Amino acid sequence: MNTDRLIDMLSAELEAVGNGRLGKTLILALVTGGAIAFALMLVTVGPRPNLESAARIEWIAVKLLFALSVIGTGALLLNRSMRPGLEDGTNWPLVFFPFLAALAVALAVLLGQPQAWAAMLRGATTISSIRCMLLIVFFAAIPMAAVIYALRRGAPTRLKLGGGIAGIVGGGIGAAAYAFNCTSDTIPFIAIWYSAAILICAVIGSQLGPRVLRW
Amino acid sequence: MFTDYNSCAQTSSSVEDDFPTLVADSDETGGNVVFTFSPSNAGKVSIAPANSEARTDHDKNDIAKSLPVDELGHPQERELRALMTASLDGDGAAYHTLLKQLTGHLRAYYRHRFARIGHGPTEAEDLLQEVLIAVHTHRHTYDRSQPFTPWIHAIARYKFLDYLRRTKSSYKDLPITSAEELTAKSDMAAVESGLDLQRLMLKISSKARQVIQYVKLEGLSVSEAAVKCGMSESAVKVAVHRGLKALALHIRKESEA
Repeated sequence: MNTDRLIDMLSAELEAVGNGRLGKTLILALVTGGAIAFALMLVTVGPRPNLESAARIEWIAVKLLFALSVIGTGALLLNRSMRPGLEDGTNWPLVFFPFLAALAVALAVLLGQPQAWAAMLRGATTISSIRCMLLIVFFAAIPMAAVIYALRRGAPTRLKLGGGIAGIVGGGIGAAAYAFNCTSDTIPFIAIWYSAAILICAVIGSQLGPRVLRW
Repeated sequence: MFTDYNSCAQTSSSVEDDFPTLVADSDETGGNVVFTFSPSNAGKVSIAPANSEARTDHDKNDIAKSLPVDELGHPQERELRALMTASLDGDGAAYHTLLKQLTGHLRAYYRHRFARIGHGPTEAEDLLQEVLIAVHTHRHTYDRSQPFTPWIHAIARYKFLDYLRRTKSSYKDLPITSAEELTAKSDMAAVESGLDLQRLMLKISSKARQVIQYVKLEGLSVSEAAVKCGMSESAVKVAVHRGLKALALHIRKESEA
């Protein structure tokens, strides 16, 4: 095939391309993934009892704050990872900032109450931590797929990194859905087990990345 | 010599190829750097393979340093970016010019690298064509508020690494490169690629093949093609887009074999 011919072919009947298309795809994926994760939570484990009481609302707000900050920073970086040429101008480790902030607060809480360490880390029941991680990863699967779909619409050039951040964002959405069910109301529990679950999603994403994001 | 080059490029983002071993071969990295800075002859200049020019580059670097450069430190950034912006607005002529110029730059970029992994210019031309199609189907990923040179460099580099991966080639001594290196020289001497378009076209769906034939090869307008195929205009556009993507996939598979 002659390259000049290819160029003629590509530039014939050229269509205009708007600027915001990619961003919209990403937002759509986040919203759809979030809605599906929430619906999945409702039909499987359901929200915790007495959701309306003020104290419980406050704890859900704390958990959501953490999850949303993970999703927010991740989504900003994701938006850059799908556009070639921004790799070097982007501060990728920023994606860990919400986790470090949560761990710092958790450390402060733990140091303030050294006698309650075990109880705070264990959560409401002995299996709380395991249940938390399994449910977050379970709720995260579909949002993660949605985010990867959006990423495939772009042109990610670092596939492991892109997949890993997709995992973190998907995990954040899973954590937000799980927050409505979670009965373990301590900061250290959130900082450790929520983070661990989201990071499991990140590892899965970074392993999937090179396979599913190639273009 | 390499540092000379970097210092004249005022970019803060030095794109490095992240290979484990970066054995800098001074001859090669020097020969790499050829400037064609005058916008008036941009794209028309044909530069001979890097090795034959290697000894004369130093003077060119000095001239380049004395010239005014734009915000990216690369002389062609402004021109290419203007062409890209016009292309995104649907200007086919600007797009044609842009692809022509990119072809020159990409050909020089790939031939040099392919020579180093022991692959010939035909394979380089195949990859170049794959990149042109990728640029086309991913042009919406360019953000108009960002410089253009890093965008095309990231794509060229990604496609090269992808090529290495799928052909299982090794490239242990890839030199450190920066975004400007891609557009620093241009090679317009075409080589026929080994891919047979007509044969590859047979591999995509008949509907996509027909609309690509009408719109892209026979030069019909989208509305004429829509009437001929009995499809809506938007269906034709979608079919063309999908067809090109499928074609890119087959080109990729072809070079994998």
